Amino acid sequence: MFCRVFCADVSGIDAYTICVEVDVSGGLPSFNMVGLPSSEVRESKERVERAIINSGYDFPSRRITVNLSPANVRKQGSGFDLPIALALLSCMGVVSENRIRDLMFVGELSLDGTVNKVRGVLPIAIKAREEGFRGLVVPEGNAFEGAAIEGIDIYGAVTLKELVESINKNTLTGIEHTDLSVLLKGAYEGNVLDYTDVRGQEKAKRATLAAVAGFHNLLYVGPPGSGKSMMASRIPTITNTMTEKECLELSKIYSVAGLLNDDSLMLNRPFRAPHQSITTPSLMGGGNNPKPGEITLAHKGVLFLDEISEFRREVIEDLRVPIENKKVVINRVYAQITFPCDFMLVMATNPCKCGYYPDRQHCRCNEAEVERYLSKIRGPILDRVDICVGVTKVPVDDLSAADDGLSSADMRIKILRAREIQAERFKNCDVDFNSQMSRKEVSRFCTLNNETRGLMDRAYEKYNMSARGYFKTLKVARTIADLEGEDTISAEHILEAIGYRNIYINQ
Amino acid sequence: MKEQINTHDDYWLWLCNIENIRQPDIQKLLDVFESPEEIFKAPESALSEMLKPEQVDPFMLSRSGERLWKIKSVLERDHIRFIHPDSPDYPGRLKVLKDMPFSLYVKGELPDDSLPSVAMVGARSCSEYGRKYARDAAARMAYEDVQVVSGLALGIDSVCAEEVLRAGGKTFAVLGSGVDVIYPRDNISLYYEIIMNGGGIISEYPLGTKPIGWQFPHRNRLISALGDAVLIMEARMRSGTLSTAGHALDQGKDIFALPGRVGDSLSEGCNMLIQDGAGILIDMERVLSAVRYNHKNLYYEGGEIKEINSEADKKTEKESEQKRTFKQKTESEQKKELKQKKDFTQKRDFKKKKEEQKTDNYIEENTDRTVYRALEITPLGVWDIAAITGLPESKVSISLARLELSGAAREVSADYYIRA
Repeated sequence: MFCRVFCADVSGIDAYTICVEVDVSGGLPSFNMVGLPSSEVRESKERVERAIINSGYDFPSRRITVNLSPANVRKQGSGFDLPIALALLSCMGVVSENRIRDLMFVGELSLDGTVNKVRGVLPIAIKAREEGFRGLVVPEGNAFEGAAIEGIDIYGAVTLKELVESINKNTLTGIEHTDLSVLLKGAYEGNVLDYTDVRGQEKAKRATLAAVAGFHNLLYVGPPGSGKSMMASRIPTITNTMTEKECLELSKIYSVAGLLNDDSLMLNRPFRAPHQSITTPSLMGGGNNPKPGEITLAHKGVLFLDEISEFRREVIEDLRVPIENKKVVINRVYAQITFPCDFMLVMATNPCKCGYYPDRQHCRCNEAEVERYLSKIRGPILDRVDICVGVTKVPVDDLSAADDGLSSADMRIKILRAREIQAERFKNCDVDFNSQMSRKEVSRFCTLNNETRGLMDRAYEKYNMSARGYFKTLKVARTIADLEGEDTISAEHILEAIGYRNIYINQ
Repeated sequence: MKEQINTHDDYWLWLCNIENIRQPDIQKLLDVFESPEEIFKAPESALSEMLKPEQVDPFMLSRSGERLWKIKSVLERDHIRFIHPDSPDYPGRLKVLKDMPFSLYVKGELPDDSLPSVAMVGARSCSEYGRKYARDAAARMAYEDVQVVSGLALGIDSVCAEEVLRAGGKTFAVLGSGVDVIYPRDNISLYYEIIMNGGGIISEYPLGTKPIGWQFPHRNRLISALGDAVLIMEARMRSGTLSTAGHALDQGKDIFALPGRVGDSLSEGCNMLIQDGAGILIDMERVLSAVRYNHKNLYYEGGEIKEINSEADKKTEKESEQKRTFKQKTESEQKKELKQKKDFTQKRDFKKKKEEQKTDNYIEENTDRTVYRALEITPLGVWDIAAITGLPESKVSISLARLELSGAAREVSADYYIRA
């Protein structure tokens, strides 16, 4: 007796179809599994056996062979339990094979037959739709995320017994499709953070505004307790709502990472703030079966590196290529896996070891120590910073001041307007934001008149700028002009951009 | 075949380079035997009475001279001079010290006894304020041909040395390590610049001595001794700089301290010195006249300071007069030089004025003027300036960018500015 059931596994953030073949034949009772299963897949035979028995079905005491095809790809994950069990039951005639031929199954089994959650349902649903399956059976807990995909029926399975009965009675009912656009509309209602929580810091707020508007990388410099993290953690409250495409892409990443909550998708842009002790694999993505790292989890959102100089140098150096390419490639013997990582880089640092330079009342670091403090990260990452701004400890009077300054809502409106201007400007180019402009585009969109050109020339000489630094200043000036809704870059815009200059590097 | 130890210089070098034997031991030996040669030839029985047991063995071994020849070859290779109290080059300013060093290792030159000199010291982690005035004072000293002595430390010491070199003057550094051990490493280029420009690096510690903590306050006595006055630019309480000031007091030197604001921790030491009667470093003319007076009227000889006027010995007076006439240039030469100096000062002032005008031209707008007025020599954050002027931070930031471009302000740390 032979039966075949379809299933899928995840590699990177994409799924591929796997065919589970089960053969039950005469001979000494045994349960063999072939097709390059990893240890967690191999263990599934124990779960399958007990789940079938505890669901009230007979487990054949015969020679059972399970093959996972294609046999040359290593299988990982626990989603194979349910398809193996169904194929086995189908071999024994408990389930009609005709009824499950055009379905795909994923799910982990408990010993009592309950179907448990697995990771990667979203990419699997996408794959199932591509392959033309009529429906996809997933664990109940994953049904919501699967339902975000249009064009395929998603069935949530609670227990093995229930599932088998509804297949046999032909009463499988798909759950309702999740409408992303509705969900996304309500996404901003739940934000509890707001920039009104940040008192004073007018310039730092303004710099944050400009950075988000033009997608510029940002560096906060300030003493301990000055609110650098507070400022950074509010960035998601002023960014634009994700599009459906972005939401799906991000949800796919979180689904693969197993970080998606029950009955939810990624509706808000992520804010990831890994600790300084992070290792390269957990930042870039890694593991035997590579899982996305922090930079991928920050996709379409913010990666915040607090105390940047405390990170290991190698870790910081490895960031360069992903920042440039907006994707990270992980090589394994079995496969080469690519994760997207299009994030806004926000960093924070103390100006020196004790954190109070140049306030000599508190700081006792000598020149060389101050110089040395940031030199570790200077080359690798500081030249990726477009906007650098000082943050200070707010005096007590300001804390209780009535004036809240800019609120997140105000800032968001300005940013959305600047983003619209950029969308219009770049509609025929392959860049999205001012920060991504190539030199050609800079010379096209950042036109200067005599006054502003003179200003830029003076700055170029005065600060001994590199060509990169020159263009960076222009791009930031462009963003500032967009924020003000002006077509041409004025002297004030350029001066403001110079005020955000990264003084830690000869740009 | 080894050479014999037989010159007076060699005996001194030998005496100062015996393991476990330090300055006080040498002093003790000299009190009894009177000269290094006698010590060398002294019988073991007499020595073992005077020395500690662990000192006797190295002492006896060192008589073979092996170590001495090694040291001599290094001295020769690295162009380091060894100076002992009987050397003709031994600085007169050190001879008056109670605990004068028996050995001086010198790379480059020693401060000239016939020229005035000043010791300039200050905090390593100095502020922009201290840096600016240290620079001004050092440049003035160099311009007036006053030799500047400091300690090659980071901060004020380095600023002074750099500024003297820039102005074409001579500067000397007394190290707390061996003269061939450059510490801190960051000052390696400054170390060589000092030597190449007619100044010198001086240390009393044997070659290769590591920079160990206690040696620094110890060498501070040489820094203050080598100056005809001591300028304290910035000092915290309980700092190394104040130890130099303490030595200067013991040696009876004139001290000038740069006053600072009450409450600035970097000025606390200076303000305290002023309260205790130190000179206030406001007017460089006063400092200069004190330096010149001290140099001219304190005649160093035979380990004692003698006021020239009270010197009764005819011979000495005659000698000193000869010396003076030899050192002093003819009147016409002097006049010429004076005129040159005047011209230079005028030119410099004129240039300065012109620069100021240029700066003024750039400060067109009213906000810029207001912001410029708010700037200080101590770094202020953009937010501080906004609070002082009552302008919004965005306006202040733009003004500061404009001021910086025109050279009227400078950003010293992220969003901290000073008046340039």
